[in-house]
Amino acid sequence: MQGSTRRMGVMTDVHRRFLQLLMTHGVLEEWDVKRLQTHCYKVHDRNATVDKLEDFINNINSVLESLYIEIKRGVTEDDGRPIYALVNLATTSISKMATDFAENELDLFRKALELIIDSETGFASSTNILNLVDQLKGKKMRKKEAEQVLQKFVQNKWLIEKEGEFTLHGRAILEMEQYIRETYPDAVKICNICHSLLIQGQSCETCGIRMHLPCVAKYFQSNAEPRCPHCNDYWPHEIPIFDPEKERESGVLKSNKKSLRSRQH
Amino acid sequence: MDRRNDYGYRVPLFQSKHLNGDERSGSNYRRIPWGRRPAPPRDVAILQERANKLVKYLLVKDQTKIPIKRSDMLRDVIQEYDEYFPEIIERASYTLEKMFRVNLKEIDKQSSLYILISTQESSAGILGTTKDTPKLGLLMVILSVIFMNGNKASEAVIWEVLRKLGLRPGVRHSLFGEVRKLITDEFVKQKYLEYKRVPNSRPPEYEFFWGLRSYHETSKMKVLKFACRVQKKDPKDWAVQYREAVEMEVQAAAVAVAEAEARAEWFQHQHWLYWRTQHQHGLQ
Repeated sequence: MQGSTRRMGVMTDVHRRFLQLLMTHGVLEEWDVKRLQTHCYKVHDRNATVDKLEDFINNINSVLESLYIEIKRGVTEDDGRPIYALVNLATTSISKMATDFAENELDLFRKALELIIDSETGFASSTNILNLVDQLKGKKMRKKEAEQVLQKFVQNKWLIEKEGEFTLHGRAILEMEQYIRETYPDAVKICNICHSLLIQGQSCETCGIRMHLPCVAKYFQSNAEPRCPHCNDYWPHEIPIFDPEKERESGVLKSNKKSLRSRQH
Repeated sequence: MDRRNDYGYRVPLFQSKHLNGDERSGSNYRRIPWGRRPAPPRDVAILQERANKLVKYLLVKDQTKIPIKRSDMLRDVIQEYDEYFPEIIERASYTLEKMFRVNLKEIDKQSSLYILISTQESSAGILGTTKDTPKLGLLMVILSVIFMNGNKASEAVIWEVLRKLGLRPGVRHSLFGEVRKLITDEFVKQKYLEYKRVPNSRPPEYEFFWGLRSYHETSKMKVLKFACRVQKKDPKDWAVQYREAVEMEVQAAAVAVAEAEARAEWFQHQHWLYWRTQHQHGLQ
């Protein structure tokens, strides 16, 4: 609903340069996004006051609406850093990747994705992924080649690698959350606090509910006796502490999370 | 229901080589308000909708830098509205220019190939490197060699230079892969370079030229400045320096030059570009 009531803004060269650069990088952290915004103003409109980032982006999004794409804000699952990417709203498949990769490469990604979603930790080991190489659609792929394809996914920021294991990059989650929730409704995990897709997080050992690490940090902050919000048992894990950026108030973070949630269907 | 959901893309995973292959399945056609028949010429909305889809399609396809075929556009996006292709592509061009400052250019009228070119001065490198930066750095080196050699360079000369950077044909490099394939095949497909056989050469010899995309995406002025900055050093020093740069992520130097140009000399360069366009038109 919120999409159709949005007033269409005006895009200037400042916005266009910003958009093009964001597209070049695929996904950017908030700090870089702000630097980018400042740079774009410097190039095209030195004397103007720099718009608040949220307004700046909403403005661009209102213009992009007719194309069913938007700049989306998300948060990295491991340490709560805000990230931004241009995502395709209409098509729910892996279409954005489709033209960059061959059929067997896409199938490899899908296999990795399924392993990641099914896993307890949100990580799939390289070995387990490579063992599925024989089942791939399309041209036959050797394990050595598959290793390189996985690295290509990492370079293109669809996967993250940690110690031989792979999980989804924040960008992939931003882009594909809707698709993943629709395609794997039974296997998918959801955060009890923010209700978004959960790949990595902590879980209650009694009742099984899960929370993102940044959500845990916020929910239990300065709570000496953390208890599960669902079953009230003691929360068995270490509560992470994330250092909010100096310029940001936690209130801003909360409001952005709300708007992120409200954009989901 | 939200307007977006009316498009109802329930795509089986990995259906595409095409962005919109899902539209072919009967069930999705039922969701499209205008039905199966082609629009009467006055129905602008459907043409605009196709144009918007085409915009996204082109933006994604262009990421590989390989020119896009008209036949692919017709097959994947335009589909039954092929007789309205000229209007649809014009609308798409307009949107690309208005929203992204990108020009859709037909580079080959016979094979109907298109590329996207940014029409605004590049800010590449403002945020540091991307995954393409090393390759573009290498390309910059090759373009400058070609330019300084009088707009063409034999394969032998190019390899002489690349060897000094520690690159060899047939040897896989961590950043570039197999370099010979990169410069004779990938860069050529992407229209950054041209690789042509020297006429009547026996055994066959080849030479490199700037590709069409290079003419559009960079400028000889930029490349000249890059080459001069580089040649201030003794060739031996230059080689060592650049072997290091190549091993880390080469483009730091070239992109810093381009970035400095964009920021400090932006207005000057606009005037120079204007002059160059006029000059080129005069030559043609």
